[in-house]
Amino acid sequence: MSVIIGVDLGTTNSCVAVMEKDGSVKVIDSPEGRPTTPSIIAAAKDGELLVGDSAKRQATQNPQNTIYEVKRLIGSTYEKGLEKDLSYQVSKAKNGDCCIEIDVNGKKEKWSPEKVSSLILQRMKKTAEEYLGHEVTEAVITVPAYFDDAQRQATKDAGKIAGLTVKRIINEPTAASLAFGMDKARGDRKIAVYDLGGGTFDVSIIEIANVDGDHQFEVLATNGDTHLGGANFDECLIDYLAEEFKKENKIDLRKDPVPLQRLKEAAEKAKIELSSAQQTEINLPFITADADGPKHLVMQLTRSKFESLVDKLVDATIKPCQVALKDAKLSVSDIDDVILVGGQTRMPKVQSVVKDFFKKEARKDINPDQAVAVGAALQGGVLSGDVKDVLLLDVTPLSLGIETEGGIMTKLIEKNTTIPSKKSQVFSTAADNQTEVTIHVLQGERDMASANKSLGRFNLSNIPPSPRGMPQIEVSFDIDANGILNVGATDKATGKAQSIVIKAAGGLTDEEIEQMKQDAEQHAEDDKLFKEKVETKNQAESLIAGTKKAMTELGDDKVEADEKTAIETAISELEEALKAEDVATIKEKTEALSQASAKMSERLYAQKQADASSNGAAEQAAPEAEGTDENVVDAEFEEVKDDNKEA
Amino acid sequence: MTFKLFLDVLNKHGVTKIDAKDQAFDHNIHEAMTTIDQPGVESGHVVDVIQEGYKMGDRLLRPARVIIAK
Repeated sequence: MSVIIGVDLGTTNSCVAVMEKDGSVKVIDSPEGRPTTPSIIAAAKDGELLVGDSAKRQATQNPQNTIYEVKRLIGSTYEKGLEKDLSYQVSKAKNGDCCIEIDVNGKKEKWSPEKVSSLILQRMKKTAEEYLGHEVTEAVITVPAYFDDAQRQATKDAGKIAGLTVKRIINEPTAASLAFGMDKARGDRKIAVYDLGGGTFDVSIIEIANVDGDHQFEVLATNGDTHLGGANFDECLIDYLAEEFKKENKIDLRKDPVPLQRLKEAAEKAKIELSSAQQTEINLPFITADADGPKHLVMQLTRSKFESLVDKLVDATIKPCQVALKDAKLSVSDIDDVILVGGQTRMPKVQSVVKDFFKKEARKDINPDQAVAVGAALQGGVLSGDVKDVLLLDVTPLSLGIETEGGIMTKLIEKNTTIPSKKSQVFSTAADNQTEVTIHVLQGERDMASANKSLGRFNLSNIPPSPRGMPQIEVSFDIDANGILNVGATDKATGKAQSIVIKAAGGLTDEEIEQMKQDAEQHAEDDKLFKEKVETKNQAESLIAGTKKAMTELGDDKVEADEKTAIETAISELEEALKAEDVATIKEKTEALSQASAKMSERLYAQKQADASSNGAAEQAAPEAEGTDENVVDAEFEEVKDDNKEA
Repeated sequence: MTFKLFLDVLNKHGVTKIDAKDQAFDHNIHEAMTTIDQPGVESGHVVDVIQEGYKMGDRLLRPARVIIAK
C-alpha cells in the first residue's frame, strides 16, 4: 500500500504527518523527539551535511555555512530575493535565480534554493520512513497561497530532487482548513484562516460546503504578504536591542555574525516567553568585547514594550484580511469561524487584533504549528483513496492572461478562479499580412502588460498572409490542480499549434534536477559510509577500553604472559588502525583483538558469575533494607563489590 | 550532595550528564552559544559549559550549551 505523506515545508520549521490506516492523522516526531524540525541546513567543518536541530545548534559557530529561511529565496530572482540580514552569501545564478554560496569540505560550492529545500524534504521523508518502516515515495507539499507559479514549480522540483513524487502542491491555509473541517460537524460554513508563520503571512477565506453528503472545500480568496512573519517580529526586537546596546556601548552587534546569531536566539526566546509572561529578561553575557574588556547585554523587556515595537507588523496583517474579504465578496459577519495557524499567532496581541477585526473569538483548538502538515496528510489520504468524501477546490491567487495590442493585458483566467481550470479565447492579428504572433503570458492584476509579471513568451509563426483581423488564433490556458500553467495557441486556419508549460522564469531544467537527484543519492551513500565509519570506530574504541579494564580487573596473576603480549599487540595494532581511519583495517584488527582476548573474557565472565552469586547472597542477607530505602540497597551493593575486589 | 544523589538516581535509569569541557565540538550533543579567542585551547574545542546537557542512553535529552575556542 502506498502512503502519501503530508509535508509542511515552512520558512523556519517543517513538519511531516501521515494518515494512519484507521483514518487518523499522526504528526511524526523528528529523531530529536520534536514534532517540528528547523528548516536549517549546514555544512560542518568536517564536510558533513547537517539538517535540522543539529544544524541549528552549530549555527553560532559556523554562521557563513548555515542556511536558514531558504523558502524566502526559492523560485525568486536574485533581485527579488535579496535579503539584507542573511548570514550566508547569496549570489546571482546563471539563470537569474538566487544561489547560495557554501563551503563544503573547504570547497566553495553554489547551491540552488531548490537543493537546500530538497535536503529538508529528504529529512522529512526519512523521518516518515523510520516511523512507518517502509519506503515513502509520494508526498503532498504545502506552499503559501501567495506563491506564484515559479515558486510552486521550484518547490515541486525540490521534492523531485529529494526523491519524492509530489502528488499535489496545496496552499497552506487550504491544508489548515482541511485539518479543521475534517474533525467538525458537517454543514455549510465560511471560515477565515489567519496564518502568521515564520516567514510568511496569509489569510484565506474558505467555504466548506456540504454537497450530497460530500465535504467540499473551496478557497474563495487568498491574500497575504510573503515577507511578513515571525522572523520580522524577531528582527524588530533585534534592532531594538542592538540600538539600545549601541547607545550604551557604541558597538553595533549586527555587524558581527556571531553576536548577531546569539541576539537572534535570545530575541526569539524572549518573544516566546512574552506570549505567556508579562515581562522577561534578556541576558547575554560576553556578547562582545572592546578595549575595556568584555561587554554583557542585560535588559528587561515588558510585553507592552514588545507590543509597541511590533505594532506596525501586527497592523500590516489587517489590510490583507480586508482585501481577501472584499475579493470573496463577503463581510465580516459572513464568517462563521476564524482559525489561527502558525506559531506567531500564539502572541496575545495578534489574537486580540484578529478578534477585533473578525468580531469573534478565533478557534485555537488546532495546534497552530501542526495544522498545515495534518491537512497535507489528509490531502494525501484523499489522493491515495483512503478518504473518499472530501473534495478540495483551490483557486489561482493572481489573474493570468496575455499581452495584446497596445501593451494591454487581456485576462483569460481571473484571479480566484477555481483550479483546475481551462479557458480559451480567439484572438487575431493586429496588422495586415502579419505572419507571426507573439504570445506573451502574464500574471498579475494590472491592465498595463508591463506592470505585471511575465511568465514566458513564445511565437506562433507561418500564419498565411491575410488582412488584419482575419486569422483566428485560439489561445488556451490550462491550469492544473497544482497551479501549474500550460498555454497553447492554435491557428484555426492551418491547424498549426504551439504551446508552452510555464515554469520558473529562471528555474531549473530537467537535466539540472536529474543531476541534483543523483547528487542527493550519492550524498546518501556518503552519509552511510560516514555512519559506518563512526560506528566501527566506536566499536573498536569500546573494545580496547573493555579489554584493558578486563586485564586490570583480572590482575596479572590470572593473565598468562604470552596471552598478555598477544592482547597488547592486538590493542596497539588496532590503535594504529584507528589513527589511519581506514574502515576495513579497523574492522580486521577489531576482530583480531576480540579473538586474542576471548579466553581472558571467558575467565573474567566466570569470575563475574562467581561474584554475582556471592552478591546475591549478600543481598539476601539484608532483605529488610531493600523494602525500606532503595538508596540503602544501592550502597550495600557497592560495598559488597568492594569486598570482593579486596578478596 | 543532594545533586549527587539525584544524579545517581538518574544514572540508574540511564540518564547521563554530557561531559563537554575540553572536548571537540560535536553538533550532535553540543549547542554552540558563541566562539571566543582562547590561547591554549585547540580550535573547535569547548572552552566552557554554560548549561549542562543530558543524554538518556544514546538519545539526547538536552544539548550542552557551550563556548567554543576560535
